[in-house]
Amino acid sequence: MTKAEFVATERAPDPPPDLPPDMPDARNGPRPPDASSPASSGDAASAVTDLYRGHALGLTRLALVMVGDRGTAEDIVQDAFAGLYRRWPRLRDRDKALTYVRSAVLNRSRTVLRKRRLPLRVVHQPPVWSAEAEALVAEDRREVMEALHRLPVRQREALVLRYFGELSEEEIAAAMRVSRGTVKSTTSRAVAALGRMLEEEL
Amino acid sequence: MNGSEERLRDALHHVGDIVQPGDVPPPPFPAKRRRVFARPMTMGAVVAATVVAISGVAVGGNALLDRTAGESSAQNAAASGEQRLSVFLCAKTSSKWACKAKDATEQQRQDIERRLRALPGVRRVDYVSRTAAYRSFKKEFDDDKNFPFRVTPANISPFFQVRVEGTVDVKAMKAKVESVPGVDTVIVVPRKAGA
Repeated sequence: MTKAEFVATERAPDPPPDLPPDMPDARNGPRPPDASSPASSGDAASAVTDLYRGHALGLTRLALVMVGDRGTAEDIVQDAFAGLYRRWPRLRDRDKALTYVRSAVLNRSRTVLRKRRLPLRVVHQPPVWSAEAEALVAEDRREVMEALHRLPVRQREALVLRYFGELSEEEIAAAMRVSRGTVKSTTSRAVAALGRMLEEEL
Repeated sequence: MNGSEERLRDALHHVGDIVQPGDVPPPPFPAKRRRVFARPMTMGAVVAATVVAISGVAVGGNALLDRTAGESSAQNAAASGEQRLSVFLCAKTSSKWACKAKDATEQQRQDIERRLRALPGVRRVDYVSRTAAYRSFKKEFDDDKNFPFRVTPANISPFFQVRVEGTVDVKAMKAKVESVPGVDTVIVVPRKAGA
């Protein structure tokens, strides 16, 4: 991109699209993009780059708590953004790009975990919270992470989006592609099950 | 809100914080040009992490220690089986959840220092203030036109330079210290080749 184009992009008069509210990722990352992505111009590089700058960190952290190792988490997020970039020209509702990429991260995490359960599973790193992993995570937190990972995958996702992503019910529903009612019931079942597991360990 | 929900939140954020801003690779597609200077605050956390990493190794390893500890033979000390940790305090630009985007308080600073001194195998603890860290950083990198960030005193974190005996398990120490309130990150300063 030439200097002139760069300046033009900077001063793009396009009104910023309303990205879904995303305060949580703000706490997890440098800050979400200031919605300066000129969606209407269809400049995929520009819009997706802004989204990446603002949310790649938060989403990598999300993938890490889901799959347990950094390398896989990074790959998942890179793939998800590469997919968004490819589909950008055909993406109908660009305001929902963040929801889209968040769903992609969840789906890919789920696929990775499923593959690891297959008989001829790929060799993978022990989770960062495990005892083998160089004492990165203290004992009491390890218990919580292990209990979380004994829950069914949908319950785990609901909990992670709520207590890590701090998303609203509506946002969780959009990311998991289920109804709000399902989010409610899944979350309450998950909290109850987690509470029971943690109590048993006392 | 019950205990297990709070524990879950704490554990998730603690694990999430293992990924730091500097760890995120460049985007997997042709990115438009960076606008670092247009939005310095957006990059604040990245600056902090990078500065933390660089100053922890390059500055903390030489210039700073020489000055604050008044020792000219810092390198010799490293060679004699000593290990070093840089314990960076929370700053407004910290991306760690537990920092809550606030500077570490004076109370926290004192508490961290007390705890560091009480750890087994710790030989020496030096505090490097934000101003001192900034000055050394400027000195080290001022001529470096390639350095990608504009560094101001606001996005440099104050830190403790800790020297521990060579036999101590520094990784375990790092994990322990990082869970102390007010600590952003702990960097184990790599030993010099041949040390």
